Amino acid sequence: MNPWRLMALPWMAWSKATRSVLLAFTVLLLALASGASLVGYHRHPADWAPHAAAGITILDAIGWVGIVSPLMLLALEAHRLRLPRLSREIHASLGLYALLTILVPGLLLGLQGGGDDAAALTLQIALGASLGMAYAVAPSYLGIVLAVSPMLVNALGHWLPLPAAPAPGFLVWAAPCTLALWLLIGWRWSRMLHDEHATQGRDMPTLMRLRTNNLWSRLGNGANAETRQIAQRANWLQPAVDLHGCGPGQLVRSLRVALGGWFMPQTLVSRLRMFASGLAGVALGVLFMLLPASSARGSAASVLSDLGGAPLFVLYLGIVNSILAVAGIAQLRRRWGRANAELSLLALLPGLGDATQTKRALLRAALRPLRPMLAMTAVVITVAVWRLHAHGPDVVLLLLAQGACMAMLLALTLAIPGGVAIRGWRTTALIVYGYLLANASTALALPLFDQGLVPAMPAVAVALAVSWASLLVPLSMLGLRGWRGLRQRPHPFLANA
Amino acid sequence: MNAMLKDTDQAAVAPLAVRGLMHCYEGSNVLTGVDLALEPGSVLGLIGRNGAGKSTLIRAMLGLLEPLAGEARVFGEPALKLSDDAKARLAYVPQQPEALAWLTAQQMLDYVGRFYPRWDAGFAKSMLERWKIAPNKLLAKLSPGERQRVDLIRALASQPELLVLDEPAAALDPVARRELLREVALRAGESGTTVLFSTHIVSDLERVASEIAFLHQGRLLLRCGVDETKERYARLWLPPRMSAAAPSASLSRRRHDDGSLSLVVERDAHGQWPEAAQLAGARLDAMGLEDLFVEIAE
Repeated sequence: MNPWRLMALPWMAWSKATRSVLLAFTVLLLALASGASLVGYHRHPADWAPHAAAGITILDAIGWVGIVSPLMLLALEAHRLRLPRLSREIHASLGLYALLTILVPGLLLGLQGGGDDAAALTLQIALGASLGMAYAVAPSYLGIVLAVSPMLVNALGHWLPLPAAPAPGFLVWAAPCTLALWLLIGWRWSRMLHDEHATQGRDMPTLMRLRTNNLWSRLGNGANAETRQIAQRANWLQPAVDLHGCGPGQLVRSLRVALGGWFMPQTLVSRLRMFASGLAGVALGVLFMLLPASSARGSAASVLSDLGGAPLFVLYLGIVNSILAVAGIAQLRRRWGRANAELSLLALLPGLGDATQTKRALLRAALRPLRPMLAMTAVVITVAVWRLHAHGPDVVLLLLAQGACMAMLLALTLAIPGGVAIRGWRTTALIVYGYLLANASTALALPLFDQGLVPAMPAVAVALAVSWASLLVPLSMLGLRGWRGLRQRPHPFLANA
Repeated sequence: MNAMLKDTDQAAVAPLAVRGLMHCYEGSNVLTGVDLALEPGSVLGLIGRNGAGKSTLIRAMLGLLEPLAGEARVFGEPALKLSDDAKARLAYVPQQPEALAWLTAQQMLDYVGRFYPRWDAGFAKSMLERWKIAPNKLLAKLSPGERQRVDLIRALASQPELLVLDEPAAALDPVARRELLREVALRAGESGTTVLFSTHIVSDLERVASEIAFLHQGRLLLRCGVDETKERYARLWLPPRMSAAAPSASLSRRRHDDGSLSLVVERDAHGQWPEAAQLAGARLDAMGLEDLFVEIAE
């Protein structure tokens, strides 16, 4: 068996686009980890090995979720298609990855430290890898464990000797625990191969959900992913449409139904249900942040103060604003990326008036998220000025960040029905860049860091100016081309696929 | 009087007509100058291999895409600028309907029905029951066959004068397919609905179509009545020594290993077969619709 092929095997389970993103992310992560490791070795050579092992454990946990676990998807295909040779290669690949990511680093680090801790360090790394793999093959509803993992680690630290503790204590519990995890993984793996129900519905492994429901497919034209998502969602989590007032006389409301998702008018009960589930999520998040704090820092009050603190509150609002923009754009891209769906229905639906009326109504329906975004921007600026006493450059940066989110939505709302910049990675890259820049700028403008007035520093100001120009110029061009395209189109429901 | 004149005008206008339609995707030609017009009340089956351009032709005919060249008209209006009146008279069911997955079947029919002046809500309800489709189930949770049926109900409940179906039977089981064809035949026979449907299934064409149009590599190779095909087209086989006498105009031409030649030939304007068919040793075989399709498409 060719070792290069065995190394490449898990990557083949992802789509080409996801694979490129994953590869870029892996390279970046490895580069950062190597850099940190080199710095650590030069500064603290004595206790470098345990720290490096901790780093590798975390990397392995991430790596076995994102890179190695897709082997299971391939194994499933190989089993269904009756490809025994591929099945054998998958097992070999799994062994090779275990050797390279667990055994080799564990032994090398152990030898570097004199050889006494080799077993403990290897076990620690194996535990990280098994946690990652277990997370990937476990049913997705168990993903909540990931959110509480900091709390778990803190709580466990009080009565279990963690890796930093003397090796024997750690080995006593970690060895059987790691073994149990690998047995559990083996059982889930075998069940998925032989029982079709284990890969469907509630039992569907996190890994399979991640394959169709990742950020990249959401931002792209992953229209089928959206249908799958709706089909997989529990009925009580489905937003219920309010068809009241829809019809030929109510163009904007009718078009909102056809745009679906965040644009769709919902019944009062549905709105309350969505609000309650959102609130429950936030409450759960707050709870998880409070619980470790109560044991680790001794005072939940300080965490509460952080949560309710004005700078973080403004940052949260800024993030919500950018999410609203990105979600709206993603929704529109999906609609205009499918030829056989809503567009053909809308193009032939009587009662929508002439093309000019329809285009106007469509823009009003698609730009509806601007209302809450404007409201949130107003709150952001008000809190920044009155509560945080933000200075001029900070306020300008906050306005720029929030305004850019709205501009992004506006430009893409013109560009998508206008038939420009739908395909390819450039638009996606621009959206991701805009999202990151807006949030980074909001964070910089807030007193979250020790130094005040960060945007006023010359170097930061220049970097920000260049960064914003590199977003706003292509965004303006896109919006302008979209506007022209939309005006020229005989009707706005021509697919871009 | 004006109303009468309008009715006469509407009857005279072809419900669907295209002229010189050309389109390409990523540099490869999909439609290369298609001319086609449907007579009111006719049932035209559009047949062709995968990738022949059937769906593109249908989409261009209805103004769902902007062709590179040519003109498409629906009830005499430019397809890309249809009035509400023209839209209310036509219904289209795409291949693999995927629209409004976030609505239930009932909600979708209720929503769409509000826009059609002649919407038959009773028909929609009874068809949902007849086809055993749960009205409160989300469209995203229905099987492909069920979704296709819901979309067919949507199209038929609007009581269209022009019904355009793109591979309507692709996801249907044989029973549902038979029911659909019966419904189409009924609509065409009783209400005079004009129907255009694309398919690979030749037996479906024979069952309901009054005419067929054969699209091959973006060109319309032939168009005739279904009953005419056996009379009008035949396979001409010429032994190797006579292959030089083969007529230059033929729909397909295949040379066998032994040097003999098979051609699909057509009667001329006077109803005569090509002269080569009269030669001693030449053989003329009648062809069924499926044979004709396979001979031309190969």
